[in-house]
Amino acid sequence: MTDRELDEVLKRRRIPEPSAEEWEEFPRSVTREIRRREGVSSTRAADVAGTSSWWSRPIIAIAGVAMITVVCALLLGNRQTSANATGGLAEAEKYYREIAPLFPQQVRAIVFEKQETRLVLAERADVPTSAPIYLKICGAGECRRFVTFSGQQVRVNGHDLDVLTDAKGGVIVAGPDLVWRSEQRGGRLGEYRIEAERLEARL
Amino acid sequence: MVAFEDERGRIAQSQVGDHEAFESLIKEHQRMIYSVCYRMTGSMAEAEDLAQETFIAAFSNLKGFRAESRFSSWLYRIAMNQCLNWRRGAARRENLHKQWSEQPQAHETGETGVSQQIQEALMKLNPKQRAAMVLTTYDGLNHAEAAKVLGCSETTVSWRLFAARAKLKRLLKDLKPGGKK
Repeated sequence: MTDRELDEVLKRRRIPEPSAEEWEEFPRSVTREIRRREGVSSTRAADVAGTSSWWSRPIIAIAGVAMITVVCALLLGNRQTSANATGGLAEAEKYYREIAPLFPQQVRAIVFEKQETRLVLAERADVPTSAPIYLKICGAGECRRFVTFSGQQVRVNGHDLDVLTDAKGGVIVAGPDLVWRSEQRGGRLGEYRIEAERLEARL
Repeated sequence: MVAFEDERGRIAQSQVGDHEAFESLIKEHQRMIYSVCYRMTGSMAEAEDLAQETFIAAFSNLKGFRAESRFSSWLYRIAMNQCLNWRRGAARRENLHKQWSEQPQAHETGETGVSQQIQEALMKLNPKQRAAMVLTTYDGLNHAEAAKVLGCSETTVSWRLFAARAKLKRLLKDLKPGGKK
């Protein structure tokens, strides 16, 4: 057999390919793994809706969106408007207690905005189990409240802030250039004023 | 040129931690990287794992990527290093045939058996010889380019190819070029 003939034989080998769906999912699985290794997951809205992954699975997307809408509508029906500091915390606890069992290991964050409450879900039930954290972040004339978890990100005024907990149970919020710790209560992270509390002791 | 600029833009965004930009880079190069990994391992599962490790390693080393080299070549080099460092466990070796049976079949053409025979022959090569074959025969690199990817001299590549070809000819002597066994 000559070298040329060997090359011809070798090129007869076919490569089995993953399915189209697996190709579609692959980039996201890589970035998910990157975040997992970094110990930081993202709560990008894109993970919840509007990305190709959701549109590529219309049934899941429709079912997911419908479920979220129903949950939010039910809960919003009971919601008291405008919450003061303690009222806000009680409301957050109530939401968390009702929503968490419906989406085990899928809740990345519950976001309380001025007019609405949003639920940020992971596409799959792969959110690490950890104690819920109540966060109130005020800046640029408005406050936004969250129930989220260590390792997640929250978005405020276009800035992604990482939420973490330390070994002593304190909460850390990290921006691109600054870090806020819960022991500095009333402290600020750049333009933001932050309050944080772990909910587990209260649930 | 526009595509090149677009890629540069996405690389720059990825360098500052933009995962979405990096996902679009992955989408563009995933087939190439998977193919290299598959040719080096002969297993879909291993190829997928190694492709993932390649992109993860690329992301963490992205700050070291220099604009003068091509992103695809840079990725390719990472993939090949991942494959060369890959250590198959004993269980993997034992399951090789099982893995093949799980992969897409092509009974109607009868090519699956041939593909399997070729892959098994490649797997009998020393990994560095296999890498030299994959780079030159399948990916069309010349000896100088392959030497650059493998971090060795052109002479070493030539020797590896010589030894690999001799072994493959022996192992595949029953197969005839042109599609007939």
